[in-house]
Amino acid sequence: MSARTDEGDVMDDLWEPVARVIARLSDLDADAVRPDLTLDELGIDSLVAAELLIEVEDEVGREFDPEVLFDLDPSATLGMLVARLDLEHPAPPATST
Amino acid sequence: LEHQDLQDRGASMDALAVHYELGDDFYALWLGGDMGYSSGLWTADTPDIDAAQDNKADYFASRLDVGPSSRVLDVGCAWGGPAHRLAAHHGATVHGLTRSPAHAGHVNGRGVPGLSAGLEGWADHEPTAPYDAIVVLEAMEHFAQDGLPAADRREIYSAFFDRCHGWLAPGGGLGLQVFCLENVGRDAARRDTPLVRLIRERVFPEAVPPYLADLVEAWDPVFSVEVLEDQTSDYPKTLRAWRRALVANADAAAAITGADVSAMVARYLAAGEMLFRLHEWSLYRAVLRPRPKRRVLG
Repeated sequence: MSARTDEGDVMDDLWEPVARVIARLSDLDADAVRPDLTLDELGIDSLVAAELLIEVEDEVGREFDPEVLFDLDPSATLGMLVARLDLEHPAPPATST
Repeated sequence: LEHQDLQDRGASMDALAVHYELGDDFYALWLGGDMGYSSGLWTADTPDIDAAQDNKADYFASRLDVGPSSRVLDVGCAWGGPAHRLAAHHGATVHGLTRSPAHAGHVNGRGVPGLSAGLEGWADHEPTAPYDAIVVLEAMEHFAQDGLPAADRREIYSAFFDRCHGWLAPGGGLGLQVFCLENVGRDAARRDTPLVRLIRERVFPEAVPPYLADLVEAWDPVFSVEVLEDQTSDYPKTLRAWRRALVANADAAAAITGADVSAMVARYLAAGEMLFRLHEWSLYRAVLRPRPKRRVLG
């Protein structure tokens, strides 16, 4: 399953792992994690964000600049977050998988 | 300051027990073979956490000339990973100090010749002979309680470096690995987020990482700097390795501590990694040499 939003297909490869990790961390059904929900609505504060980023990195085998996530306002949507992660030029992984 | 004052202004035994007395078998699941509980040192060809821990101990051994005739003090030795490496691999006689009964019991239970630990804080320690090297690997966050005024913290750090200076043999040196607060504001201005609160309240109550400037001010009267390196990039790799091991052993971990505590520890390992990657904490390694006494001739 992949989410279609204004950002389009670019989200497809990241949406699923992000949604899956959020569902687990925030104890939600996978269907309840939608791209129009805000970080605040999903309960993503700095602590959840730390685990979210690390688990997504481990799932997709890429490393992201944490500022992409930690500079977001709580009113930002999950769709915006995934689009920002996707746009980021991935740095070489600092940790082996 | 009297030693009791110094001890009382560091973390209490109860505060230390919150994290360090969760069970040695719990930590053995994720810390790596030698149970080093401080950042490893990673190079391009370091294969795993065990090699990174050896690298860290070897880094200090080579810069402090630790060998078979050396007497080494390890202040805040935890479960004795680096101390074990200095004794078993480098042949030194190593004595560790810790205020955790679990740590002391584990180190002494290793039964390694030349390796011992005492259940005492640095403020109470009275050496039987001078040391050729002293290592302090991520212990200083417990020396001054979170919330103490900055001047009090600096006074405690100064007292510590004064003690170390007095304990070293001629030609000796002090090896320091320390994580420091950076870019987070001073004291009351520090940001209070759920991420920071987890570490301050549930993992390391009463602890506070020092600011590098406070350490420099404290050691400067008695030590000169031979090496001072920012090696912050080592810590995310270490924390990721620990977290992956803990997650991989989640069932066994939960059986020891309960699922809530082991999940909380996994969360703290993620939080810690993020603090280093966001440059809110930095990791420094330093080698300090005692300053010579002042010359007499006017």
